[in-house]
Amino acid sequence: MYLKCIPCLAIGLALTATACATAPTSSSTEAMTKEERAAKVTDEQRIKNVTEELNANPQSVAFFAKGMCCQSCAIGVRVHVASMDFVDQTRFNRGVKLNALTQVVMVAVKGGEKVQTQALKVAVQRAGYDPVEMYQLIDGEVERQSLQ
Amino acid sequence: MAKSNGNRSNKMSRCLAYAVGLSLCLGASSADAEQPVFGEMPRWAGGWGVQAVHELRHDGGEDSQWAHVEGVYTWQRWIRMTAKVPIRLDGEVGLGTPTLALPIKRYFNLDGRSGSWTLSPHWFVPIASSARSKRKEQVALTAGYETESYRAIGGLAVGVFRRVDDLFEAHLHGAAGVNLHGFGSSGHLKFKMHLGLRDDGAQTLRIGPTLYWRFSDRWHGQIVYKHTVLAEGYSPRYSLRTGVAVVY
Repeated sequence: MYLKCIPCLAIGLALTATACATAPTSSSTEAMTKEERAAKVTDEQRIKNVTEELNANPQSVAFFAKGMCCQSCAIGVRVHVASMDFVDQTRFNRGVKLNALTQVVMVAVKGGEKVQTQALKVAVQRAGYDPVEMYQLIDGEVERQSLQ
Repeated sequence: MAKSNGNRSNKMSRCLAYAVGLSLCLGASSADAEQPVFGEMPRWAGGWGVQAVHELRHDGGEDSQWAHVEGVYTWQRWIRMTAKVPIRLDGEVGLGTPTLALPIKRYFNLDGRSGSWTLSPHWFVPIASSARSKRKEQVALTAGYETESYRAIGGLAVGVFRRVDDLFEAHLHGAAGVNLHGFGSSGHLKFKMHLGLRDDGAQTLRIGPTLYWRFSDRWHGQIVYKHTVLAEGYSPRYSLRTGVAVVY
């Protein structure tokens, strides 16, 4: 009798996981990509958040780590990024601030130090995520730089 | 207005799907996955973690207490090694059957969701100090899928186990839950299910909640309760595990 539960369980769990993890946040019924359906924060919301963060912390850079939506799993980003020479570990939490909702990582930069973009990209990949773009505040405007 | 209705419709669909999923999990009952420590952690190269667990167990009419030491080391994000060592603390005090596993993972990252596919061979090391503490499984191969968003977490795993008495067991593990955020940290509450089928016709079904909390980057804790709702050929088991882990 209980063998009949197997497909129900499989379907139920798959349905739950899929519905909760991929439910769209917009009401658009237009064709969307798999990634767009999974998005919890729009690009505009992310940029708005980054602009506020960078204005509040000018000696910093931010980057979008695709998939970083679990605060605990994202610890690896701090582990790998905090050990880099240009990171000011006296600010944020060891120089790194994680936001699992926007998937944005803020990195405090030491005064006079240059951000090592390539090393940063490798660090994020070693942490298990895909670096998409980096944000810097230049003349009050957020400049986007692709990391892909 | 149309947008508002659309959003409400999406939320309702999502809630309904979630409720149906959880109802199926709870109503039909379930169990736990074989991934040690905290499943996803550490997903970073060079990361390791150790978890100490205290377990209160009621198994086949007998109460016992166990300590478990579980460790994991992640070489690269696609491969890690795990070890679980059980120790009985009362009655026939001594070592249980340690488990070694080599999970091979394929992660994927989407915008707002992440997850992994896992294939994992297991070896149950036959060095238990007493016959009653010895597990009957020899080797196993499990395959699983896990996914997580900011708010939800879920996964499925299936496994085939070969036992010392030449019987085979098939296990289905499922989990679904929500991520919790607050007090400057995060955690999750999951409901797990475990369905076990043996080729002599024995069946077992266990379910229970898991509460996990991240105290800091280093320190993590979880409480896991498992309740047997079906035991035909298996002894009914109820257990409460409290674990504290350190992750580097």
